Amino acid sequence: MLEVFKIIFTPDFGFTVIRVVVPILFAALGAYVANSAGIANIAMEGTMLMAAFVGTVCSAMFHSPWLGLLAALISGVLMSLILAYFTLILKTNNILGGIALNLFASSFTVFLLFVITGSKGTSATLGAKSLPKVVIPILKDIPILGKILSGHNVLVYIMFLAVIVVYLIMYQTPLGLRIKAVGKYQDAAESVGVNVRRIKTIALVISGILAAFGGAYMSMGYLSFFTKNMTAGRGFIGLAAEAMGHGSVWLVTFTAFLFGMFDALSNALQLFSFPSEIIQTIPYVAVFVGIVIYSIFESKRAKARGEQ
Amino acid sequence: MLANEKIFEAVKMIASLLLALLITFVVLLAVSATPLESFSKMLFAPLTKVRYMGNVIELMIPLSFAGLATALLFRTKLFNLGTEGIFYFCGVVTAAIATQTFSNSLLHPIVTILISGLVGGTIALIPGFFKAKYNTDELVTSLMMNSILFGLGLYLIKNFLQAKDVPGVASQLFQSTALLPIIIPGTRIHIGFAILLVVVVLLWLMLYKTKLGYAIRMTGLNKSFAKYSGMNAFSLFLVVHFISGFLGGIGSSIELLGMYSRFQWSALPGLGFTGALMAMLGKNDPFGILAAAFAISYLRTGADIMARSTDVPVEVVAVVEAVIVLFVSSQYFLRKYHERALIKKGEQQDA
Repeated sequence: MLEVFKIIFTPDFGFTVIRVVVPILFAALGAYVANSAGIANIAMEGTMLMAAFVGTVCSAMFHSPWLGLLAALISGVLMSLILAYFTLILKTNNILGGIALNLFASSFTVFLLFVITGSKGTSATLGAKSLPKVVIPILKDIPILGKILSGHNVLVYIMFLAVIVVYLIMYQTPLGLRIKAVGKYQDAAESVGVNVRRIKTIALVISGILAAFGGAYMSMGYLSFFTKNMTAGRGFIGLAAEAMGHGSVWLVTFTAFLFGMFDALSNALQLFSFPSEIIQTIPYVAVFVGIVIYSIFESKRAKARGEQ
Repeated sequence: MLANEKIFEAVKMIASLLLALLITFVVLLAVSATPLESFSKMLFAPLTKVRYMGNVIELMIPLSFAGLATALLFRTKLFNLGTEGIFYFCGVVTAAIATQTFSNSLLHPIVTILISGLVGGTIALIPGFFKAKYNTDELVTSLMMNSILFGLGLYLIKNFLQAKDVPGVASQLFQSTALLPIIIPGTRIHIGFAILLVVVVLLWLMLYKTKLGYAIRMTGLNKSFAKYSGMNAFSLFLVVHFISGFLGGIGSSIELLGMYSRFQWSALPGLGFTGALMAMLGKNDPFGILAAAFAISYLRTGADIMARSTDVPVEVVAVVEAVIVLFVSSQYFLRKYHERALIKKGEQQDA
């Protein structure tokens, strides 16, 4: 047990937490924006997976990780537009639509992977480029903090930026106000001339771009190639973090970090002789327990308010 | 003609299928050196041999069970995707019982399938309980449970049931007494198909002829209805979850005992997730799911045969499946034609 604590209280562990939280937090932020507009974007997982694939393949194709990232973001926008088309125009239930898109992404990426590389497992043979790591001057020399915060993939810093940008969009711009209005009182928003469908589409597109950043990170930062179903439920962990964030960007971010910590813990514990199959379930158990505890509190609060 | 609701639904279904096939053909044009050959293989190859049609029916069995399990939840407006994890874990349970020696070859599979179903039902009660009692998001909990059940199942297989002489994840061989008999010679269609048909009829009767079924259908239409149907939401959610898990459990067990000689799933088999597609395509109706499972099995078998002799991987069916499901489950697809026909009919009646 002591050994385990020794591993947790090191700068390396802090570094790992940040490393693993990126896809979760991007997904959570994306879910946050979509949810603010009143749409549960279940397709987060599939959007991430698609972006992970498109990013790494295009970075190999164009010999540039930045063009790869750009392509990944475009794929995120496209996935969101497909979801928007079906849920907002053709009135497919958005949860069912999301489920269908996730299943689609899961097989379609394998399909394209095979067509392009001849393998159904990974894209390692493509020799794709990863996005660069950034060493921050001055910060890197501060003890402990420097070790935790400096030297990450560039998307880590974009992630921190994204938290602030999402906050600013939602609380400081007319767009954010409209998104929230549409999410809370759609009819009221419509009655004062807000184009509900357009606002929802914009929210979904923002959410898809954020998910795509998370996906691109998986294949161009966390790893340097694509593997089948590599997002492994991170999109859904992001959705859970969002659900528990209670409509606040900061709480959403905090919850995502909490889940990231369990993810890092599961990584760290694999160094010990625990059975790895069980250790790997830790992040999922954490989310399960987390969301159950949250819902117990919520339902008690609802009862206290007499809403039950 | 389009004014008739049923005919319109059928037309919509066929239009979705044609659209999906068209898009698939475009994809094949892009990736295949012989797109026409690949396309016609995928569409018609299953018809060319009895064995191939057998493959369609064999695949249809697990897809239907997964679809029935999911549909019951969807119908009650419970978006639970836990059938995947239940399929995996109940597969492990099946392996644990099917590898034991048992003298009676009639009882062995029955006991295995029933225990597997009970375990599946019990597992499904976990997200069901939290949903019913605290309104916990069942989509998230069920997805997390899939990963947890996978880890747990893999651990059990590797540590307690692993065959030492076989590389990779593999249980010991199932006892021959546990295997399900083949019912149609020349194919591998096993008695699980008959069980499936019985289950479909029972579920239909349950849905349309019992009070429970009435409560399920009405809750699907209006959430607060359960309260007024004399059955409280709490017990309704628990019952629905249990039946769904039970169906997943027996589906997994029947698939393993009918088609495999040992447990060899080293990853989630994907059957449970496909169940969500079946439920959507089949409009959550037992017979609809049977038809949907047949159609998807047909396409998958065709794609599989195509993949063996052409340069196109079997995953191309994902395109067909996603497009059909998205269009079939969209309320407004082609609806203006339906409405136009309704108006016209109304005018004619007036005149």
